[in-house]
Amino acid sequence: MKNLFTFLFSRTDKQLFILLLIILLFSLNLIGQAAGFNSTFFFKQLLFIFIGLIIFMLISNLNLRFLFRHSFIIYILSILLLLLTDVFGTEINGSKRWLDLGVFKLQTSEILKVTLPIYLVSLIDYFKNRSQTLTELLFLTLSSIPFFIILKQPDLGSGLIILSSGLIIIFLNGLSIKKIFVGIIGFIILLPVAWINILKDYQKGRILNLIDPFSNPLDGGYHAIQSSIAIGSGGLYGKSSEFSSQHDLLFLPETHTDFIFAVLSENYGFLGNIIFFFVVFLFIYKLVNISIKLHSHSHRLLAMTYVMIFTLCFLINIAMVSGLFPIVGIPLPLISYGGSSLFIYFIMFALINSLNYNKTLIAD
Amino acid sequence: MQNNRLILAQRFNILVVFLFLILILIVLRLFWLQIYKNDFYLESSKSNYERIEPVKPLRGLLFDRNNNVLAENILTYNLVIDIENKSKEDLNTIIGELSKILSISENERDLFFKMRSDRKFLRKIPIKTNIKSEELNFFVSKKFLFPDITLKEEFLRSYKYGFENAHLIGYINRISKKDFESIENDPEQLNNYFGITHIGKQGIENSFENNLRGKSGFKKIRVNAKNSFIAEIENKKAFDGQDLILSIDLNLQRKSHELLRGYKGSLIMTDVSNNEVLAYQSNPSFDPNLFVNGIGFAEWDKLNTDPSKPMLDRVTNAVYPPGSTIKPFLAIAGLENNIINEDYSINDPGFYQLPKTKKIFMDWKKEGHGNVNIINAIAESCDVYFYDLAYRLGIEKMDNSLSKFSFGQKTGINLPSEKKGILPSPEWKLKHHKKKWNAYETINTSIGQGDFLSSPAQLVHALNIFLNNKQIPPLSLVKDKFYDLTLSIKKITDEKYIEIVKRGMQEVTSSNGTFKSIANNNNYKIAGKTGTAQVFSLKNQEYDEDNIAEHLRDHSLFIGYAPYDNPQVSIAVIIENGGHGSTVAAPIAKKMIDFYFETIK
Repeated sequence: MKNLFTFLFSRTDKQLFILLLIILLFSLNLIGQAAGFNSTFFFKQLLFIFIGLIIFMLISNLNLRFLFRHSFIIYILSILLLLLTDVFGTEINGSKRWLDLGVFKLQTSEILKVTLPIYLVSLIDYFKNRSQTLTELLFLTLSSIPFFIILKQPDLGSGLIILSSGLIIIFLNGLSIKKIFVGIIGFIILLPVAWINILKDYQKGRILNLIDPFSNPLDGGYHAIQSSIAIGSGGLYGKSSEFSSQHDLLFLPETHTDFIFAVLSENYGFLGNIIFFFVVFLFIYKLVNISIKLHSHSHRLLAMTYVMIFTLCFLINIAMVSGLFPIVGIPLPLISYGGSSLFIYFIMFALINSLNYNKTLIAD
Repeated sequence: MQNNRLILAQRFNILVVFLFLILILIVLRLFWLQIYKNDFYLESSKSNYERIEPVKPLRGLLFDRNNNVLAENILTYNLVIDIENKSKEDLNTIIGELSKILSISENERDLFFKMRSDRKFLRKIPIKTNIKSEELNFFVSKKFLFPDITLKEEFLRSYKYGFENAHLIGYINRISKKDFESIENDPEQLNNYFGITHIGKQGIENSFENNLRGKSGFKKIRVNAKNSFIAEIENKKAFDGQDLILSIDLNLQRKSHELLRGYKGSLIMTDVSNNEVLAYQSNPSFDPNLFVNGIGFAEWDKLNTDPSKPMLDRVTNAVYPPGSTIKPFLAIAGLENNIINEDYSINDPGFYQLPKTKKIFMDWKKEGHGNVNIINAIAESCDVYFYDLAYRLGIEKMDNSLSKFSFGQKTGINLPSEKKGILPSPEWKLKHHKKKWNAYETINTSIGQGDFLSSPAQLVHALNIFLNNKQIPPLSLVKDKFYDLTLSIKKITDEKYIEIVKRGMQEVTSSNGTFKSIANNNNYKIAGKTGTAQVFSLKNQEYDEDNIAEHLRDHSLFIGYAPYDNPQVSIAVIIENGGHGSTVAAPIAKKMIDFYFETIK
């Protein structure tokens, strides 16, 4: 038994692991404050973290060569899961994003965050000697397929994150400046088309609410206003000494999921936020450090893409809660309540960790 | 390989810089929200969870002088809608749903929306007031369907004997936009009225509004997002309004209401010793209870367009030519200016010719009164005697004396409004008609005609000044205001003049007086003066009381007091288009005085 533990931990970056644990303590504390320390949310999250840590340990010790070898099948399976969700999925609040597995509901789009980069990265070596443009167009197509399926659920936020993961790989892989410009111009042209044809009314409303939340205070703007109030009323030190009216008195709903950052801000203030940012910054710094030291180009690319997705989701969530970005339903990575998202990030970090410790095993 | 690594590092750095910029933006945003705008958001979060609920005071009760309740507060149940953050359409939907289980009249709906637009700071507005018990039970069983509607206990103002006291007590009504604007300008008043929905509009309810209303308190409570009560933060008690004991006697009010039934007119009876009002009656009357929760348009229209003007207070807010009731006061003017004395007499041929003119003034008695002195002149109401007196006295001296009896001035009665009437004078005429005074107008004024106007309240006030022969406090509707009458020792005129005129007024009710029909067989005796006020001057036409349109008929007046040797009560009665003073007004006054001495004394 003791040997097993030593074995497991010998293949784990200690600093990374400790930082991860600190972030998880933040998460448990905030979920406890938001939903109650004796609520089912708190205990379930505790359980998710425990399972997640086991997954982390197991994957950290896997030889990942087979993942790259079978990445196509993994991609296809992920897409199939998305399609299954479209047929058998559970509908919550008007969108079908979850597959009910009995014990817990799996948000299938989350899986793509891990599997799409693996597949794309595995193709890079294969297409090494082909035209760069062809590769880029292929990558774009492969990322767009899940994007459109997820958009239909509808889940604009997750869809955009998946699409971005593909775009990040294309960008990191050396997309020429000329094409970047073409891409940006194309995006600007497509924007009004998307506004008219793709975005649903409630999605447009959320974007408009960002510009002026008080125009529609009871409907779409409610979350934006209440979360601004929660954050703003936290002040420098937070309201933890007295009571935190915004979530205690239920003015800001969903505080244990997407809006958990508002709880942090209300209870611990600006100072608490800065400390939190610092811890997360150290964690990301550590991840980056590991990533750039990896031996193979594709491994580095994969690890960096994961780090970018994590950072991007982190920033988008906070921007959304603090009223800088439309409310798109992206949870705060590692902090918000929810199994799917937590497992996916555990898997990502475990893969990075594994690539680090198995770099000698996976020959180029 | 190396090239790949370089590009990756370069590209990765670009992304890192981009994300760093986002991070800086976020930190700036958090700084803005949490540090710079902290106060604003703390206030916002407070207004989320803090609710201030008014604690309403109970309005003071009104009693008559014998502690009979005249206005009270009855516990009723109202359905109120929480209007916060609701549009007109939302409210219409809610009311529409409610009307499926309860009857909501068009009027109730209108009043609801009127109150919504009239009143700021009001969160809960009644849609249905004074709900009946069966409807109450029905609503309670369906309450879960109406999360925005609550049942509220409310005290409803109720006027017992509403018709009998309508003009005196007035009524309260919902606070209108105009009322609220004046309240809003005074922060203290705004606090006093916090949550209060009604205000005194007329009568005592209006003039004693500040005493009767009391002061609102409030309860500051903490609520959650579902508006459920969490905790109490602050509680400021309300101060109930003061009860008021009126000088009015309910029995006299009921009696006078009964006596005036069928007439248009008014009656005021006072205590001579302190100028307190015992009975205050104007007829036709109305039910003040109709107004309390907003009168419907149809009823309002009916009251307003009724030609008999039931809303008009004929005691203080209607002025009439005083007619011959002015003669006792004019007699004082003559006596104190030495124009006449007890022994002075004239011969009345039935008319009077204004000296140096050909203008002829008729006496009411065509054949004339013959030889009359001051006593018969009052008793028989001889016009020619007073024409002559007025001519020799002149308008200035006449006005001087009459204004000592408060003609043309307010009585100061504690009601929101009263008319001061007109005591005609050359200055008055110049000011209002831009014309010079004519000598014949002095003659008209001497019999209370022409431009002379006074209210019944003024007549009784003048009579009380006369009977006390000194300055007296204003007419009062409140009991025991403790005016010390002995303080004022300055006489109005020489006591002996008063005695002479009093004798004339006693003779009015004697065998040869204008009111000889009074059988003075009681153990007290009534003295007074009748009056007949011309509404319409007939030109070259005989006045025939029976063949003239009712609204053109003369007004019948009487002022009087009893017992004549020791005056306790005084009275003024006017019956519009009632004809001669002796035929209608005087008998009513006598019945009133009889009732006073038989039952009250």
